[in-house]
Amino acid sequence: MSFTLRALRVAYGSAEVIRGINADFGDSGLVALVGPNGAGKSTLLGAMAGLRDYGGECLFDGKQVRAWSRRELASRVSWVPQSLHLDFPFTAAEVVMMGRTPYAAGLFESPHDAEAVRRALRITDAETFAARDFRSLSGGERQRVILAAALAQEPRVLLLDEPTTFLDLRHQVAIYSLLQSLTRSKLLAIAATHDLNLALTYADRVMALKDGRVAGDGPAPGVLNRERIQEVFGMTVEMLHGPSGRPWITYAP
Amino acid sequence: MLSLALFLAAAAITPLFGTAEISFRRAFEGLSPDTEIFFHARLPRVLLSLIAGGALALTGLVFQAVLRDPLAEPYTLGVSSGAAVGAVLAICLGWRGVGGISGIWIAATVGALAALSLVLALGLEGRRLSSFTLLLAGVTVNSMCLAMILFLHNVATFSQSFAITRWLMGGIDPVAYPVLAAAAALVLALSAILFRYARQWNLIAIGEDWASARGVAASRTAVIGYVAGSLLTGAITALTGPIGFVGLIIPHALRLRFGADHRILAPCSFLTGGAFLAFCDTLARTVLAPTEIPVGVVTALIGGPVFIAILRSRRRSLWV
Repeated sequence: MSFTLRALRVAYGSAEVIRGINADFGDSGLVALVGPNGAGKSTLLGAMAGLRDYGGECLFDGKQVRAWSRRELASRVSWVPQSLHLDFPFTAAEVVMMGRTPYAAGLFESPHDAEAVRRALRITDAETFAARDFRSLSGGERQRVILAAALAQEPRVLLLDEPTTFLDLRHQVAIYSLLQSLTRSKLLAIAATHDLNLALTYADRVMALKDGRVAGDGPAPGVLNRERIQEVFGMTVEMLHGPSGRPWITYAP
Repeated sequence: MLSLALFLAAAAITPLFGTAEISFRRAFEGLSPDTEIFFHARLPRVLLSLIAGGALALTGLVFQAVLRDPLAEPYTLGVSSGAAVGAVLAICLGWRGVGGISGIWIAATVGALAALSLVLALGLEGRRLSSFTLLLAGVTVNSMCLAMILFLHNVATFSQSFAITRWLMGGIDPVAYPVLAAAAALVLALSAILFRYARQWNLIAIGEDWASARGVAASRTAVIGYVAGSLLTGAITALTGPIGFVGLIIPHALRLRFGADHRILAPCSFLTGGAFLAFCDTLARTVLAPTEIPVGVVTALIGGPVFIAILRSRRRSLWV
């Protein structure tokens, strides 16, 4: 068991965004976090990463997230923002190297750290632009660099905030295939996403949020059905069957 | 390496120039007046400009990272205007100080610390320190201090008014060696603290959440940066008055050349900043000799065009 959430609440001032969530997460698998804008997806990930104050219980390895030291937690849990806005000319490789911060005590990284960075750049297909200024990269290239930084962190849990929003088709599929194969053992990935078909195709489990509460949680085909999507998103969709027999969600505007 | 060479060159060359013609052989043989001019006027002044320039450039670098604002400089958080209010008050009251230490220095130090405490208190939101609120608090404290200075200036006598203007322009005066040694010790100790966190500045420069999620105690580290940087600036400003542009242009110029890694930028900023200020001060002493130009005027006259050039090249190289 990695994360255990009990009556979890998060508020920004007087606005309560997470209103009592209960859930358990294991040590592996790919979980898709879906829900309309403002449902609390990013906030939930932020609370689990120890970045937001929360009420109730948010336990990692049986200990409240807020009680973990930053460094101890960061060597086990990695949080991946949707994008980064940089004011300074860091190269992509320097951004990825920052993922090694929890492991190096001193001012400089070791050859072992450099090796982890090379590996992460390779599996995210980001080697070709590693030496470029991060700000000169396209949105999709940036997302691959940010994901590489998270993988270089060698975590047990990846918390991803819409990791494929800016990616082209090939890389969307590549990243989700990568996450799927990485999460077969010893890695749990929880990814907020708006792409229900990617969730349906790749996720082992789907958790649907609406108004800060869990509106559905379980294996993907069970959660992402016509009625639930109508209830959570307020959209009428049709379920088709793709060429391989997998369900496929489609809609007419 | 280049920065180190520049720093050493500035340290070696700048004391050789001055208003008065002196013979170095006579100076090192201990003959009057060459010894006095070299060891008691020129050398301490060069040494002070080296540590002052280094401290200002390093603080500017760290403030730009921690506030995530490329336009931040050592005075952004109100330190120099606080020091200025203290100094101007001391000038108006004619306070001579205690135990041989100038009243202006003491008052400027107290003023700098007061302004810093006020800004930090305003920027504190619960246990988190918001860099946006800090910036706003800094701007507010700066303009309140400016109003007080204008008021004091208005009620000052003619000669006080001249002293005030002179102080506000920033200048490096020869200081006694014990004062210099104390300042150097303080600057080196605080700079060592800022160097130690060089790796953390990289992550904080990207964002507080980014740094926290990668194991950096972001808020605590940022406070260390604000306090150490402001103490550096406060100590230097008390001795020299506000000297602009060093803390702004040196980090930017170095980033163009070396990228954004603070482990390289921090030592380079200190060395290049020191060399730059020593060079500017030499110009200030010699160009219109025997009249001296305040060094703040020289740094602004050189720094302004350089900064514009940087902005233009930055636009070409994707820096907007």
